Amino acid sequence: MKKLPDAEFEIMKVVWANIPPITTNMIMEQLGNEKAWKAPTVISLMSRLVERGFLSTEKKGKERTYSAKIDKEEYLQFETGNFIKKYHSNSFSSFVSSLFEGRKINEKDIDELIKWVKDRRE
Amino acid sequence: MQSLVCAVGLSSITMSLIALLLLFLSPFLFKKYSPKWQYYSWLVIIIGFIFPFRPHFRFAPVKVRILTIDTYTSKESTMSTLNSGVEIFTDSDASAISVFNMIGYIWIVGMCFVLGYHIIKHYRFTRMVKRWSDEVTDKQVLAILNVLKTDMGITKEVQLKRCPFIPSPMMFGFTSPTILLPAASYHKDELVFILKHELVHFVRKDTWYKCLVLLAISIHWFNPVVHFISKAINLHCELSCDQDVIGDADCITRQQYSETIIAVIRYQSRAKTVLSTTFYGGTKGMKKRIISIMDTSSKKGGITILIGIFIITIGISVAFTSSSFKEDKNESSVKKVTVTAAATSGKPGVEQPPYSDGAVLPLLQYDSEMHVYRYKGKWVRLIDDRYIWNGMSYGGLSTGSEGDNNTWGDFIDLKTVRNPNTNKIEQLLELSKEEARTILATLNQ
Repeated sequence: MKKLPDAEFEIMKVVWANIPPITTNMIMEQLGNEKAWKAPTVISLMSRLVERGFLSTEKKGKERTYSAKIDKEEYLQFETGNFIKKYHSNSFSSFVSSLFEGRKINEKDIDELIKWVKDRRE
Repeated sequence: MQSLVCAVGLSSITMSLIALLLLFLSPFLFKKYSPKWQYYSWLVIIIGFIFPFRPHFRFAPVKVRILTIDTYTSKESTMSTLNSGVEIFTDSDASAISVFNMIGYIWIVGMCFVLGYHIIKHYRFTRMVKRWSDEVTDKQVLAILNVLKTDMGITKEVQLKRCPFIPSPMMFGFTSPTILLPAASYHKDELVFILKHELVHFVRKDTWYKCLVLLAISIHWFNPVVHFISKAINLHCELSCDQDVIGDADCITRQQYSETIIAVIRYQSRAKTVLSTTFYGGTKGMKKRIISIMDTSSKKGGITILIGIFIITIGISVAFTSSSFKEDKNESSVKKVTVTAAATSGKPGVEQPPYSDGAVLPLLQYDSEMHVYRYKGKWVRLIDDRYIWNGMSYGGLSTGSEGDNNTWGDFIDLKTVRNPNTNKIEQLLELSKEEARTILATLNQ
């Protein structure tokens, strides 16, 4: 799997947000106007996504329909996981304040903390 | 380069000592003082790390260079000395300079690397956020945000986005904040606390603080203490932010806030996103945070800590710089001894060449405040100690470092007058401006 360029990624976002089968018309309606893309642009972007194995396509009568071959979660894991792997750390950026930035906590320890807080009330 | 390397190395050591002191006192301070003071005490230390140069911080202002007169050991160089007539003094060890240069370059490369790494990482992170996040459109949530903004007097636009890959709510942005929420659906009451927490970060300009920490890490990348400090600062940043969120609220509010934070962590720990690769072990920091939130005992404002750290930062560095200068001097006096030992092997009472320009030093006054040598109250810029002995030219010129007339006052250029029989320096004459200019011109060639 390779990281998608921005334009193709935008198309995939629309594909993921809709129930298949997806038509180019749907993409045009939801994205084409906003981005000022013409129909041929969208069609070529989608055929590239088919080549990449992100979309599958079939022709039903006159109309060509598409559906996602890779789901959103899978691709999200890939893209963000790559980022984490590349930077070997669990902090995303040094310029960001996280509400809690640290290692994970056992469910048991969390329950204990909750209990401790509750006990303080009495 | 040498003085830069020394200054950075020295400030790294001195500031580390101060930082370790604060780290060591931390548990005690945690009980007595509000976390805010510790957070800003760290800021003083971070600034101390960033600026290695301080007032009265001068390295070897008069570089009275140690003579290594080759004429004494080899005839070939005697010839060259004769030809040129001027022996230009070199630093005691030329290889030491190249070592310092090498260290300097490695340091600069490392600094650029660390800085670049963090900037690229942040850039890639913001790009990823742009791709994956969606604006929050929920009217209820936006209403909560607006109420909080008005309460806190924030007029800047605050972007609120939902981002599927982040494990915990976060905030970034220098001039206008962007708050990111993870995919988790928080309760309305929880959102109030979460958003307030992130807005407090913005109001306190914590992003700028983080920049300074990063700058200190980049400059002192070779120092493990700095990396350690940044972790402590992160904890104190959150502790003091929590404190600002709850203010002097009652026990029930504190409990609700604690539960909100625990909920955030529970979600983060359960998340099956990429972060599942990280290890368990955040319990200790978390407990500290919850205890701090639930602590209703009144805490002292710790302005004394802040001032104390400030004074120590300035004080220790000055003490260290002057002692380091003394070390320099000791070193040179050791070398002088060996040279004089060789020199006195000739006729008793007669000073044979070579001998170091240290012979001039007893005639000068050392200004321990400014770390310069003075003669008749003026700082010594140039000493011309070229002389003829047994028909051969010896000695040379020594120059002080680039002077600063504003702080050191007027300079003086001197020439030695040696006794033709004993070759001892009998007196010092002041060179005219014209003479000095000619000599300096030959040096700069």
